Amino acid sequence: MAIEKNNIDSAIAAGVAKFKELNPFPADLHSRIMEKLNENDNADKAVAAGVSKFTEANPYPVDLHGRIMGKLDEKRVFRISWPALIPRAAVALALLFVVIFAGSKIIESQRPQVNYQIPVAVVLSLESQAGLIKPEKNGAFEDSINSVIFNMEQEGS
Amino acid sequence: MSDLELANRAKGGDKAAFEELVRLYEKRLYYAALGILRNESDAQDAVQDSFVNAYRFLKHFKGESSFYTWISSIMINNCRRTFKRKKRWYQVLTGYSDDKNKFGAELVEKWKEKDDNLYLVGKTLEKMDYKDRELLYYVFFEELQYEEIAEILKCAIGTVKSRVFYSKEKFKTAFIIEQKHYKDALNM
Repeated sequence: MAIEKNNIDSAIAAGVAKFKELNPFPADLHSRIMEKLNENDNADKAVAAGVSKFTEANPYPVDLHGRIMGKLDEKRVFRISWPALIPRAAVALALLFVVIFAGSKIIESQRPQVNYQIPVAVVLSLESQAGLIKPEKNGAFEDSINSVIFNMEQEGS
Repeated sequence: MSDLELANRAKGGDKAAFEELVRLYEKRLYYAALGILRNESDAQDAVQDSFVNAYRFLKHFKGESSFYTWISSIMINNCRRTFKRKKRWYQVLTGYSDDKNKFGAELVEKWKEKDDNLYLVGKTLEKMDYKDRELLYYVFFEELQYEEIAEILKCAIGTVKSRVFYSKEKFKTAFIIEQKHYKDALNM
């Protein structure tokens, strides 16, 4: 078994030696690798150099800050803060109350004065006469009807 | 005063506090928009709209990330909208659907007079997809960490890592080719 293993090892070693003999190392490969590495390195340096010139080659527009702030004002994006809003809200509320109060007064003065007591008294007295309202159960009603009728008679006379 | 304190004061209607935030980040945002869109007026509009949107949605800023990454994610959306609109118009006007080389060529040509390397970087970025350009801006120009890029672009850190790797490889290969063409053109 040991003899067999030795034979295999020596066969492999001979094969490897032959492989190297048949395929010699290319004389220019080292220089080609180094050239490629240098090329890569130079490209990195050139990119870095180019990038560093970017801001210098493109001056910042002097009016851009003003344009941005102007746009923000124009779009009215600056909202009113709550502390600033409180006095404005108070004034607005006061104005609203004044308008509502004045409006209600005007409407009231325009409305025709109607004496609702007369038709109500007439209806109640008719109902009472027809027996729809019983005096013994609705004493309060009876009293109010009588007082209304009395008032009507007074006004009529 | 920290960004969060300024933001909280701005939420209460303090215009000066918000103006301070604008002053702190307007330049970085402008250059990011310019790097991605490669058009000065588009970049200015994107920054302006980003600050207006940021103020409107300021209540959503809780200070879990930096103000810059938060507003940058707003700006990225504005830039994407601008790019889509321009691309659509370009397709309508020319019937040409390729979006890689057509926008921002004028600005990159201006860089030629100022710095060769910057011109080559710009030319190479033209060859990249829009999404790669966004990513590479934050990698090369701002040198942000993966976490910050993930927050701005709203994707997972693992996705950012793999995308950065492949985008950088693609960029470097394209850059070397661009460099050779440029040198050959100079020698002719």
